[in-house]
Amino acid sequence: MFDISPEKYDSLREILNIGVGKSADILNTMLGSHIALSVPELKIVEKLGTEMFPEVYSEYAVVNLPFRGDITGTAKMVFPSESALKMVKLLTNADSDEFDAIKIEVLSEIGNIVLNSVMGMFSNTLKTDLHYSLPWFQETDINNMVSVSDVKDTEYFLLARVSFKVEKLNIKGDIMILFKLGSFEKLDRLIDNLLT
Amino acid sequence: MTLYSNIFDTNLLDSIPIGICIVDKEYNVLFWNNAVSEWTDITGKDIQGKKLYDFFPHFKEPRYIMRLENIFEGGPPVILSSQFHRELFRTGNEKQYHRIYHIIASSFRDSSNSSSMLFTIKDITDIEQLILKYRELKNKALSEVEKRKKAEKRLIEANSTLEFLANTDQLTSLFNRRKFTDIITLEIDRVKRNTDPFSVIFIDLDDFKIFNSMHGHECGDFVLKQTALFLKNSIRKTDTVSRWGGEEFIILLPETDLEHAKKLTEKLREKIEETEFIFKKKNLKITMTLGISMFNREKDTFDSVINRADDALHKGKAEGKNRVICSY
Repeated sequence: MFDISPEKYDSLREILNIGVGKSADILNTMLGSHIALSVPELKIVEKLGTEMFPEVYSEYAVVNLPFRGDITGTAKMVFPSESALKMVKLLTNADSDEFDAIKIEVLSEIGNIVLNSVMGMFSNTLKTDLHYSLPWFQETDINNMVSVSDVKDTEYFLLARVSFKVEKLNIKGDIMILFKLGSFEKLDRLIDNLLT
Repeated sequence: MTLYSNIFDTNLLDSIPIGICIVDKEYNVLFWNNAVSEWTDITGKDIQGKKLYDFFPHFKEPRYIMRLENIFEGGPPVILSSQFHRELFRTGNEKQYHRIYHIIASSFRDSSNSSSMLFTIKDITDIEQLILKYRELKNKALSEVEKRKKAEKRLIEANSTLEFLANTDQLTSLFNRRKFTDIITLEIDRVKRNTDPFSVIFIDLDDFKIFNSMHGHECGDFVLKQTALFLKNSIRKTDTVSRWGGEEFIILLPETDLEHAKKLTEKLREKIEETEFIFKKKNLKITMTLGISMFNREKDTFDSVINRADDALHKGKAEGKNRVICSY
């Protein structure tokens, strides 16, 4: 199994922290409220399970940004559905409590802005080119949050995760990046390059 | 192969209902398909060799430059949703007025491998309509399901009310004789499978007729209700008390031998004797006589164990009431 040294874990965490910090600034501007971020958490996991979430909701709204290149995986912005609705309603003055095409579109764009910023910072810092598929939206429970394309050709992921909270508006969510197993070594080397 | 590439060359991209626009780093328009032409009333010829922002000046705004500049470097696709970007690719003509566009900008490398930006513009107006229609139908279906569920719930409630009525003595709300018979039959089955034997207490209120004759039937009912309540509150959780009929009550004590049952029974007798019952400002004294039997696995049947308790009870009455007698 992939083994990564504590120093590398630390640098990876820092890179993610900077990337997510930048996207939090964007969200902050959009919502006009302070966004609190957790320290990035790195874990090797087999799948996403309920045990990884401190609070479990029945439904989540997820914006996915699949990427491939030296490292392959999916970046996900995950909201409990009610938080997602609250945020979209706030931004669009919509009133209904269901995801319609417009709300999905808006949420996809927010996710897109945030994830692009995280991934942009990530690939710039590590000096690697990534190719991106089109972002897509899903409404799901935790057990189905990892899709077929996420698990293709891999058994394990390196999961990087940052939780965010808009305290004033009671909106919360997670930014997660799932790196496929095959990417671990390459990731290791990229961080090496960075440290030397 | 040739055939396909011919189709591609001539009109495939012009036939699809998705707007396609490609620009290079300087925003020179490289490609403009029929769908965008139709929506905007700007033909390919009009825009060829021009810059995109000559027609749509918003692309010069910093907020777009900032979000889109990465795409030329191979950055991730950028979603431009209809809610936040109503102005994009719009010329103000009437047919666009009610349409909703969803735009994605992504990185694109043409045959010469120079990087450019591809806009795909989807008209999602109809999808939105479909979703609204779908939701309406869904809500309708849900409310049907809701109605059916409510009807089912009412049925279940009605059934449990019926069951309650069939098993309950109306005056005292204790189980009636029928239900008690069911319970004791089950208990006999259990004992036959080798659990500890149960005991039965047969109870008759002493001189009950006096309450009726001196203070009326209302008082008799009051005494029965109060006794029922007293018994219910005095027994253990596992015990069952029911009204056998008239002023007779019966208690089942599962897994309780005679000696233990006798102690419990004696307590009941003492406690009710000490309790003051007040009916219309009159103090009433209630006493009762109790007969106990313990189920004998070898000899007893349902009838015999109850008859033995009943016999003991009558013996107690004959000996002067207000006492506990065991059947050995």
